[in-house]
Amino acid sequence: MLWFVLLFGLMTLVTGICAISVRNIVHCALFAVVFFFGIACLFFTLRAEFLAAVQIIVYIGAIAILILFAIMLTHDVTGEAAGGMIHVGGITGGVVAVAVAGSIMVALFRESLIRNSQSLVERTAAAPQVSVKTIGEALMTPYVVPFEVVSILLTAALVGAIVLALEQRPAKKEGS
Amino acid sequence: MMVLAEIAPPTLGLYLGFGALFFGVGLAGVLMRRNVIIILIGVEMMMNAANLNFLAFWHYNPNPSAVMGQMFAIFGITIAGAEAAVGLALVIAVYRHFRGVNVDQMNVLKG
Amino acid sequence: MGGTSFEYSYLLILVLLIGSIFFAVAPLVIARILGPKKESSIKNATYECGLVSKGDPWVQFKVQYYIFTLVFVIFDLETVFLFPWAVAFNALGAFAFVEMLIFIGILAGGLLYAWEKGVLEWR
Repeated sequence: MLWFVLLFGLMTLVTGICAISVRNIVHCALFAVVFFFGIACLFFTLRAEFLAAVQIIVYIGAIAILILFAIMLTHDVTGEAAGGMIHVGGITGGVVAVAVAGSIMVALFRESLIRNSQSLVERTAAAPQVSVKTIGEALMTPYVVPFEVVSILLTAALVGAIVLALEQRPAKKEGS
Repeated sequence: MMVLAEIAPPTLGLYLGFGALFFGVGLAGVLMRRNVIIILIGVEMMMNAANLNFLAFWHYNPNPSAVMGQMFAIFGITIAGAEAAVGLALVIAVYRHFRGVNVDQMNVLKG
Repeated sequence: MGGTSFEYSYLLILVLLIGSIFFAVAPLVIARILGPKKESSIKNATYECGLVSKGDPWVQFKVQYYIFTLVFVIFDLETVFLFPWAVAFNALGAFAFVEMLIFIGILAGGLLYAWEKGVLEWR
């Protein structure tokens, strides 16, 4: 199991780095697809099968397609005209990103949470078994308000995105 | 090798470490690239890292019947989807105006 | 590593995944190793139904492609909530049915807006 987690994690990490560093944006999007798939594999190893399926359906089935269509509509495939990631802002950004990730890692490994994780390992013997049915019941009873609010959020996203993406045509063209 | 043998069942720390690394990769994508679409991919990566953390904490939870981590992750994925839809619509609207998708071209507040 | 039945139940999917990757990659590798390579400018040209291709392949696509995908994404996210609801439907009462009707009703409002704006028609 540990080897699977390490394998999926490293695969996800490498494709993630590729997805943000490759010049061609279409290749970036395709690497991002593999990244999302690797995250789904990690969800599987956490025994969250429904979430893994949702990850594949939503991220690979919908969001990746949306990104590819947005690339198709903006036709600027090669990305930055010059310089790529090697410019002052880029180098500063990279340093900041490494500092943030590094400080999270340091905090993690100094924390007793990790060193005394033996109790956490033992707890997985009674690993949580949450079926889709349990999720459905939880969604309908204690989480019903967020559930309904999500529908409002999705409608707002739909309406807002249509307003943004739709071309403003001249009014006289509409009439003729 | 001994260290690996000690954590033979994957621990919470392993998942949290990967989550931190994915977050860092996404943040690097947001900060280093100038193409808006790649910035959005980076934001999605950071969202994924957060969802991985939710599910890791859920999995190593002492209460076996808890569903809160899963619910958080479901709502997180939904919100990420809505965010991607609106964000990419913004990219298209901005592209129509500036004829480009690099953030350093977008330096005016008034259209 | 103390694999439980959980790990073994997904071993089949892993085997299938490896097998499918092999079947996709193997012909490409074999073709690259065995196939003769005779490069010429005509052979390397972009193939477009045998005609000479003209123009930039990166033309500006219509924004309606994006809006159709957008509507698809929103309703894809809806299925994420529909699926657990459908699985748990028998255990839940009429209240859950009403809840889901409200959920779908609010989303249908968004779809009606899109319809009213005319984005569902291909122009």
